[in-house]
Amino acid sequence: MSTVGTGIVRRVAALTVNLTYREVEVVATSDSSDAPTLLVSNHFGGVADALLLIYLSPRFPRIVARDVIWSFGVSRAVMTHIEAIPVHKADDVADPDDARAVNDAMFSECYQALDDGSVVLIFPEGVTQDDPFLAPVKTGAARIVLGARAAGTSGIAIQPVGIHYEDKAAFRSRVLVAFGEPIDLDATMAGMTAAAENSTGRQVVDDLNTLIDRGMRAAAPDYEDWGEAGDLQLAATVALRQAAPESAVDDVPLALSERLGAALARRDAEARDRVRQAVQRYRSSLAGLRMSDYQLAGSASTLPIVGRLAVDLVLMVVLLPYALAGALISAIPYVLTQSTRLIPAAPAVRATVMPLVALVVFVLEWVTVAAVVGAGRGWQLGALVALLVPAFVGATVVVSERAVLAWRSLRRLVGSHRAGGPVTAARHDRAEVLSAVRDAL
Amino acid sequence: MPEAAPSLSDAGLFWLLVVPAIVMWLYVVVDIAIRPGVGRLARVVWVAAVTVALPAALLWLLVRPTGDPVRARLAQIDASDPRAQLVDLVQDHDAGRVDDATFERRRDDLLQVSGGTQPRP
Repeated sequence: MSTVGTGIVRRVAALTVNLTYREVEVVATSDSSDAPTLLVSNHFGGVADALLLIYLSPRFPRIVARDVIWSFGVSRAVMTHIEAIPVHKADDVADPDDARAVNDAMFSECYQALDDGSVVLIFPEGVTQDDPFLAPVKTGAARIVLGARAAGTSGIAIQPVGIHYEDKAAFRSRVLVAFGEPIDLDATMAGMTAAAENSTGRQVVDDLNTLIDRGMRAAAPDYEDWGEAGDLQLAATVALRQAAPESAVDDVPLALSERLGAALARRDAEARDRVRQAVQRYRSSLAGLRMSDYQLAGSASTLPIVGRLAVDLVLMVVLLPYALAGALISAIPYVLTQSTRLIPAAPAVRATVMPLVALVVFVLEWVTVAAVVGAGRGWQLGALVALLVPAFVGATVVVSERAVLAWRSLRRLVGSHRAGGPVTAARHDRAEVLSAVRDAL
Repeated sequence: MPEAAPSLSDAGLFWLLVVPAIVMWLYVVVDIAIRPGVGRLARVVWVAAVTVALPAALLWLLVRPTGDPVRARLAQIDASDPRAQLVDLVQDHDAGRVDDATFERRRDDLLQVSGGTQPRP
């Protein structure tokens, strides 16, 4: 595929990601390299996972994806254009030998891509996962890199990736992409050589697969169920907020809350249960007060909050006329995008549909507004409007999100001065959460 | 005969289109000037283009070099941030790099708690 072609697709992915998510955090344990790389990622968010990794991958990735995606006109055209590599499941093909034969072609394409120094992206679970833990990691990734190495490609890196969604089906939520410790295939194989000489090829594949599995589990969310994930992440957030009570920002970085949540998830069942029971009591107290932890935690000093409120207020007043224009333009696309939450399907399916709907309806509205103005007032004004519409929509996003944060900050100021009865009880429950986290750690 | 006052639509057009257009032009010119990965001649051509025809700014925004998005998005967490210190401390203790006594003292300092809580009111 041409550089221009990949450039356009990356920009579309960047546009979609920046439109869909309020914040994209990245953590990486090492700098990206020019080595041929196999990205191995968890697959909790369907197409959203691929969009994020197209946007963030060091080079445009060759994506290994299920052949069914080639069954539909538009998706077939896109997958063909980005030179994605189809993989066939034996269940989908009448004759298993046929699946084996066409998958031989898939492996050959992957070997060639790695030999060319490309990045290949694969989701080794093989399915989109709706639980907050990895499905069993299949051996395809290990077989691809081992086959490429056997075909003469050296210096291959296997890069585990963990994608953590705050709420994968929610428009304008947050997401964390964690690039874990890369696996140097040559060094790993050198360490295995002695054992590998006395083992079957299958054993080498299994050993490498175990390493890949371990790397992915270290990078990706790994909780027993959504209940545990929610409880331990709230416990981690409470503890982190306690460590920096002066912070004037309500969002605790996902990079920190996910790491501390993961540390709590590794504790024994008794410690986890104690934390979860404390969190559930605290959550119930907060619900009774209609407050969040951020509001209840309060600040020892009101100065940072008042300072930020003043800045936000000035910004909102300056941007308000443009934000209103943007709101008028983006109202219909916003409602259509939000309505994807009502689709009666698994969250992973909604995570696929939501960014695609957002991209299509916002771009369609943008082009339509510019075309209507251009047809009525001349192409120059139409082009100017085409330039300004994204800026107006951006102003709407800034003003609305700042207004929400300002409202939360105000409630925090008020909350920090509340006392007595249920508020005191809720503060006690918060202290119980901290005590349980302390003991668990 | 007195001059007619500007109509409301003129004033509205000025604030809604001309002011943002000027701001956009300024933003794009500064972006062209400072963005890495663009040659000197290309910068001059782009500044001239967006000055002569502002809609060219749209083209600039679509084709400008984006740099490394991972570097741009890396979570910027100061190592002295007590939240980062808490997470690092837990990780180091789990990995055996910090002994139990040091861990417990630092953990309690960071969480600002000691063992046990009062009865619920």
